[in-house]
Amino acid sequence: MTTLAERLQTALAAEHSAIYAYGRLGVLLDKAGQKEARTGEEAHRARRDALLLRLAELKAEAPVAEPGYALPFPLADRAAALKLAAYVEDGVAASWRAALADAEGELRRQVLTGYTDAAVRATRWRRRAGVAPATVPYPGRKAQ
Amino acid sequence: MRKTGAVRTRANDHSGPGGFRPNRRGLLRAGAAAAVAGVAAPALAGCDLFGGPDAPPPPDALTGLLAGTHALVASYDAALAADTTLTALLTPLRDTHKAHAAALEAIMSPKPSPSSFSLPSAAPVDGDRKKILATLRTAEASAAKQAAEACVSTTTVRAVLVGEIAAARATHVEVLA
Repeated sequence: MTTLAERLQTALAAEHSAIYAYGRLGVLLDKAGQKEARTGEEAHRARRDALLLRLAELKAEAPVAEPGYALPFPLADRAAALKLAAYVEDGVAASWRAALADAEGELRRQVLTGYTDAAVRATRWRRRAGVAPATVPYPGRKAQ
Repeated sequence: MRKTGAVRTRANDHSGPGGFRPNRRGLLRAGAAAAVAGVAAPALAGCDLFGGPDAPPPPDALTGLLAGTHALVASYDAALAADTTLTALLTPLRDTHKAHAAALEAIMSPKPSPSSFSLPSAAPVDGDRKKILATLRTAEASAAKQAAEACVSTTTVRAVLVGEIAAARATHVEVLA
């Protein structure tokens, strides 16, 4: 059985990788996209910091950021950058979604906020990329 | 190697044996919530303070969320009927709400009867495209809040589905902007 602490550790690892990805993809976007990427990166940093606090409260280890992450596909142009942004947000959404059932009360509310924010940003990136529909029926769910 | 959920990690994996200690309190709390949820339902179902032994069981706690979902479907139906240029944008959103309604009905107990939702024959939509979208956006934002509250207060077993519905509604607000 996976514990709440393990779910939050997975979410933290996803937040680390999202921060890394935004640092790489921003330069390939137009001005408006870069602004959006900075906002996204800031949001993930805030989420990361909140997770560090929460894991300390739980007396659980906090995974550290890796020096680098293997990207799922070559990051060559604007289209790839938009695709990567949506991809990492989907991954973050999935990791928060997986923690919903293990959290209760106010903590579940925080988990839901992390999940919802990532799902909304994934949608925003797909919309910017011209993907239609930009939404999915069950955000962060693997097979649908 | 474990996947991080977003981008594959290249360096050390910290998740191996002896890494993180499972949190017992978290386990116990989750178990307690499940136990409470399991006990509460039969106790309520057997309540006969206000009726005989044949009194119908109280409606499922997700009844309000389901009603809100049906109301969203009706709003989209009306909007789709009013402006055919919105078909590509609105159809996937309407269908998502339909899927959510079916998923909720599948886990609710007692099963909601179709007649329990006297659907307001969705008020005819008037106004231009912009106004229609603004109305739907407001409805989705409010529905997202309703689902978020339901997610926080629901049982462990239902938290994921209700959370998915809350998140999906928030993404709808985004594309209606």
